[in-house]
Amino acid sequence: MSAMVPPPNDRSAAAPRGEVHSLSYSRYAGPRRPRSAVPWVVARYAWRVQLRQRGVKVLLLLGGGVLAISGAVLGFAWSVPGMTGGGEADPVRAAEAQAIASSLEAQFIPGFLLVLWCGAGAVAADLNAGAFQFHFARPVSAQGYLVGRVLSGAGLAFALSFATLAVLCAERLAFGSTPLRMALTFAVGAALVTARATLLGVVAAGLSSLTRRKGLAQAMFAAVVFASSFVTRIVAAASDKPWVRALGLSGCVDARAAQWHGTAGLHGALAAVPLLACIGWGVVGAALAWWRVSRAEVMRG
Amino acid sequence: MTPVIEFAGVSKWYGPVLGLRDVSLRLAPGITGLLGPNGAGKSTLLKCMTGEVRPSRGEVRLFGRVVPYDDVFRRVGYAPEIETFFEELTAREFVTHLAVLAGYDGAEAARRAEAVLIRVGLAQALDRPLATYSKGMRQRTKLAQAMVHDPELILLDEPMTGLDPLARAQIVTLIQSLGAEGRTVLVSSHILDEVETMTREIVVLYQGQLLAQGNLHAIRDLIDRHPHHIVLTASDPRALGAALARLECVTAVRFDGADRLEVETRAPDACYAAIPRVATETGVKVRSLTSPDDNLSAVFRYLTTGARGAA
Repeated sequence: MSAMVPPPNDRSAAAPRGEVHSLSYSRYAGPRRPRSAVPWVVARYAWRVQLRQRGVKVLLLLGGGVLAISGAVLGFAWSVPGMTGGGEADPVRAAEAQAIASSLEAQFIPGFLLVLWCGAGAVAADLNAGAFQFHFARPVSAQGYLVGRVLSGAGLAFALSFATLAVLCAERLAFGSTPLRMALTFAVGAALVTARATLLGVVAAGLSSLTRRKGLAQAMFAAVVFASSFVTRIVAAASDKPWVRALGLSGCVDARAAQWHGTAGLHGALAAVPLLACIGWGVVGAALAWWRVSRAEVMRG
Repeated sequence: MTPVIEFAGVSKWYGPVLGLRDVSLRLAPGITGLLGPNGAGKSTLLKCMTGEVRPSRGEVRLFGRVVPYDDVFRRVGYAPEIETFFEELTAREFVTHLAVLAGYDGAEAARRAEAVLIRVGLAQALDRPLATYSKGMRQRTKLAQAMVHDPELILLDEPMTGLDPLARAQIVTLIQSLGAEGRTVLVSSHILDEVETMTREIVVLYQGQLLAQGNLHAIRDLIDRHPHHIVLTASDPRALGAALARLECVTAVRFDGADRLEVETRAPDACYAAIPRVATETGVKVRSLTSPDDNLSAVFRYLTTGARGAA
């Protein structure tokens, strides 16, 4: 004769007798995401919204077109011996530098427009909509929020440049570069592409946090990017001081790429200008955003 | 026992404008109404708890921890007063997003968001963009996001604004159920009847100062300077009024119509005890006995008027 086994859902058998059970509120004791995940959560939801917008789709198509054209043109050029880097001591290295420069330069306009669209008004829109009240009543730090906003503002621009870099590096592998050298080129290119996108995103977030008007924030961002670029180019040309060009928001990363290739023409103490300019833009953008969020009294201790 | 909410000498200035002045209070679980006219400091008080506003002076503690303290915010749900937010998201996305920010993984957050949106009555509009929502639906959405992460403390800033009577009744029931679950719910409102239907525990703010805190009846009893009124309908109001006027606890008697009289007293308990005895002695039949003062409006009116007078 087998013993009776109570079914798993038999509460009378499972519940201990002689106990008084509290019916009051009890906290959720399950797993929770770490606070370090907050920037990704903020960014992911922003990307989801961005990818629904027609303007973003158009810009991504534009970037995709630029990628396809860059890949086709450079692929053709690299496939014909002597067509590129003919005057260089090391044509293969010149072609590798070209892959990095193209992924930065060819995608600058689509990337800038994506940051303008997605990032330059993001904090302003949050300020205007009172979104801080929802975010900061949760375990969301100001730092986490700002990093999330930078990620969401620059993420798509980064993706375009990174994809272009990946395609061009893959093509270089097919046209003579060794895997080791391509790995180095790809790593340097990825760092520069990341730096470009991060600087655009940080400056966009900083300017965006200065106002509640999204359009004004976008206009300020466009003005800063182009003014810094044009002014530094004009001053550099007029004064014959090429290092001035490296002070611009876009010029500082371009100069770092040229330094890697050895064509920047900056020597001695001036060699530090591009890096210092990159750091300066990043610090100024982050400080603006931090200052504004602090003024909104949502800083966490 | 550590109070859920504790303010210790909290003051807040917005430049030259005073938001809160030396507010000290302790609140235990249950529903508490936060009352005060517009500009009294209700939203500032709530924002001090969510960390959005930092006190200029004093300390705010939630669950015994000084705010701002990130882990505390896992235990707090907050529905602000604003009406436009995240317009491009659907209610499901919005609430899920905030649940994820509170620490749940995507699947758990989505499950909770759907359940809580259904609970607040938005089952038919889960996947509509918030931009298409009416004011009442937005209020429900705000309530849902405040509840989605299962907080112990829920702060609701004017949650009834824009709701129709049916929706108000539903939200009142919902808030009452949250209180019955053992949570601490602090509901701000400047509409007194709203709060009275939810709770008898109130905090009254006026011009940034804590004017009163406690049970509505207890506060009412504390206001001994404020005469309490009792309205009686009786078969012979004049005979009853004459007998009541002789009582020490009665300060005035007024007649209103053929069968009504209004008794003014500064000792309501003694007066309530005496009325049946006097009615028996005089042989007058008392048909009804009500107190027009025994509601939040009267207490609030008296408190704020008194405060103005004192200022």
